[in-house]
Amino acid sequence: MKKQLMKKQIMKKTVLCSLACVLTCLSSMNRLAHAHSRQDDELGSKVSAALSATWRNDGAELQESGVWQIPGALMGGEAYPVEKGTSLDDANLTIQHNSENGIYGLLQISSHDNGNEAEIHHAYAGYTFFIGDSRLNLEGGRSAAEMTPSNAEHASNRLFSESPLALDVLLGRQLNDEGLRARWQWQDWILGAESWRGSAFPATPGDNGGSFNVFLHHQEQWGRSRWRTGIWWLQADADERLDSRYLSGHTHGSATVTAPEVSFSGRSELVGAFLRLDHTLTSDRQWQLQAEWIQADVDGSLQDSTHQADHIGTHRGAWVQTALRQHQHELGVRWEHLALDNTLIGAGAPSLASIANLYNDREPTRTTFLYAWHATDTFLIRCEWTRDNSQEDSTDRFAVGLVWQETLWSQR
Amino acid sequence: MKSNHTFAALAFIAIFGLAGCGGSRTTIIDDNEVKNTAFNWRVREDLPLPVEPTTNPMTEAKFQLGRHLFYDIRLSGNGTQSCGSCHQQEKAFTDGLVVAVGSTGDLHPRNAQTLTNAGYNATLTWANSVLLSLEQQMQAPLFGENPVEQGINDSNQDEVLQRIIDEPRYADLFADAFPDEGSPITLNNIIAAIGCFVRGLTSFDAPFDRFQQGDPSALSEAAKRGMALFFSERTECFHCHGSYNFSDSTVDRTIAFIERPFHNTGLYNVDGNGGFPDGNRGLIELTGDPADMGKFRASSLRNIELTAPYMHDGSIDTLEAVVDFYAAGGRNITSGPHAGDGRLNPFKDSFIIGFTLTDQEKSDLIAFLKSLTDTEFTTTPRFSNPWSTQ
Repeated sequence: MKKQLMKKQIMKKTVLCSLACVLTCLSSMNRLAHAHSRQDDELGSKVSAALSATWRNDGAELQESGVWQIPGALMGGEAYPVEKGTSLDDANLTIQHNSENGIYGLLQISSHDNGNEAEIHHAYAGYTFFIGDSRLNLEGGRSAAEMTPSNAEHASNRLFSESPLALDVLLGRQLNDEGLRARWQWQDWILGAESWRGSAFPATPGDNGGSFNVFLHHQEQWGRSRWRTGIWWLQADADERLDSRYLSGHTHGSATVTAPEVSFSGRSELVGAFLRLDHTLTSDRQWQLQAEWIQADVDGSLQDSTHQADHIGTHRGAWVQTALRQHQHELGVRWEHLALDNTLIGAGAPSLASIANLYNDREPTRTTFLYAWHATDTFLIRCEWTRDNSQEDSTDRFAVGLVWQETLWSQR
Repeated sequence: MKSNHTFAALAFIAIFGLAGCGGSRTTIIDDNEVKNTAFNWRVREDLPLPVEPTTNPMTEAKFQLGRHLFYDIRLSGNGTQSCGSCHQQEKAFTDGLVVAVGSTGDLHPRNAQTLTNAGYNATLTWANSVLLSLEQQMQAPLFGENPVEQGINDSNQDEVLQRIIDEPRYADLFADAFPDEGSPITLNNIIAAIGCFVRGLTSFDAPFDRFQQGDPSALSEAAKRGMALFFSERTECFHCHGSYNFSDSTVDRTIAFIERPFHNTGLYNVDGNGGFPDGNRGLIELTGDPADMGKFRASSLRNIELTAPYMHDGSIDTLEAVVDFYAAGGRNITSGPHAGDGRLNPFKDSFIIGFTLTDQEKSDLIAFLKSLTDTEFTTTPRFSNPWSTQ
């Protein structure tokens, strides 16, 4: 294990050094490239905002301690439960600029999941470099990993208000971290590599932490259909990772919630694949299909203040969703599924499995039906009904929410 | 173009296939056979077992021999005192005295501790961080000279041993307990057998345990309210009296990192600098570290209702007074040789910060503490004095 970690550290340092060198070289070169940013390719500046707020008749079922956890999975990151009543799912303000010399940047300030404070969610800069008929982007800063488009979505730009279970469980809702990205685009193919500091679940920062991922995406216009598919691989190392959601005492109403202090040290290897299809049936009727699958293999150890056990796990998550839109009306359905296998070895295994809630005897599923009314191009109201079988007891909840997205200012 | 369509189609099929299958739901626990034992511990399945010394594995025969020896007053220098003299079953193996009295009348500086779940104690006695096994600890009451407890010494130990040899019941008991030894009646085997008996004194059948196992009627409403208080950050009780054994100084077979904490509860402050009364100053007497002044092990609260008086020197008479003491954040002694404000003791544990309870809440908290009383433990013939029943 130590050998693997050292090897990984050397590999990570090599990648970081290489990217830093390339960036330095590029900054001194003659900028012939057209400006480009990940958000869009238009030159100039833009300020946009988005907001999603939802009222729910019930929240996600919590453990007795008040912690939201799918039995069988160690969770973390930003995977907070939906709560009863009205909540602000997401509010963000985004400023982006693409200059003519190929340099671009983006700053997003946002508040998520009823967060009381706004935070800098994304802040990164990049440079576009053309090589023949291909394009290379090098970016650095704080941003969401691009291995799958779902990872960058929020309630304000997602079909459903709730994040997919698989992302919540396997990626802590969103892998959003400080790091470097290289993306090479040739025709319809995109090949990317990202190296992260490790401050985002399932990794931890520090000498024994950090994460790294590569992805291959393909996008294509085929008649009236637009496809995007991709595969990816992520390696994340953690050193005494606790459930960061509750480290400082997360609050639900007046109650402060503290998660069990069971930490994970070791490696998580995730692979994923996704497919997105948008098909225009008629001029005012569109059909959308999306499917995604993620598998995480974890290999490490669990410990609390007194117990220790080896932990090997294979956690799979998948969802399929489809939606049909006609004029202002949209109907959608999403089905989600998790399969969580864990093996704990050691004298402390029974205690840790119990404390960390890793005993599970069911396959969590969740089904959501949606109706959305697109009142204007920038404003929609959505109604959702969810049957949640992710916990011991099946629960149903109903939600009504609004989503607003607007370009506030543009100089393009 | 065709290959691109194929890629998309394959991805579509693969993802749909993977989304719908590949599922399972297993949690495999391999505890490295940590529950393997030849002894009936009478510990329910969801709780870990005490550590069993490799040099003194538990057997029923040794446990039964140990029980006889534990209660045998002949196992003392003057033949007047047994282990059971200070550790009486009906008092959860305490003696009800402020401090223990030895066989020759010596007063022990400390209160006789309960033997409830003694096999789970991470350290033994009130304030000794290196006393880790019952067999090691037993040297003190058997052979200790300051104070004298059972008073066995070089000059009388042959006589004591002869008394044991002369008791006809012991021949079979020793032979069963140590079948591979020709002359098994030795002091080492006596210690091993008593160690087995004391290690086997397990207590997990209190109303609290039955409540935890799913019987909501096992606890009164007052006890349930008291339980909420006990495990709240308001009273902080559970920090030092946590775990299934209600002590943070607990060890079992599943524990990899053993914590052996000691706490200063602000009981004294005789010199204004945190001092405790001479001769009873806690862990500092062993370590010499000034920071260890007044530090003692947090005893298990199981059967606490039966183990009065309380604290290391028996200086608090009742549970009500103990709750008042912690509510005040320490003890202020206004006169006498031990005068001083323990609340201001600089070595006081950070969890002893005081709290305010209504009369009802205090009563609820005590109701919960009383729900830790295991009457089976205090009445079962298995743990009782064999010399008085046979």
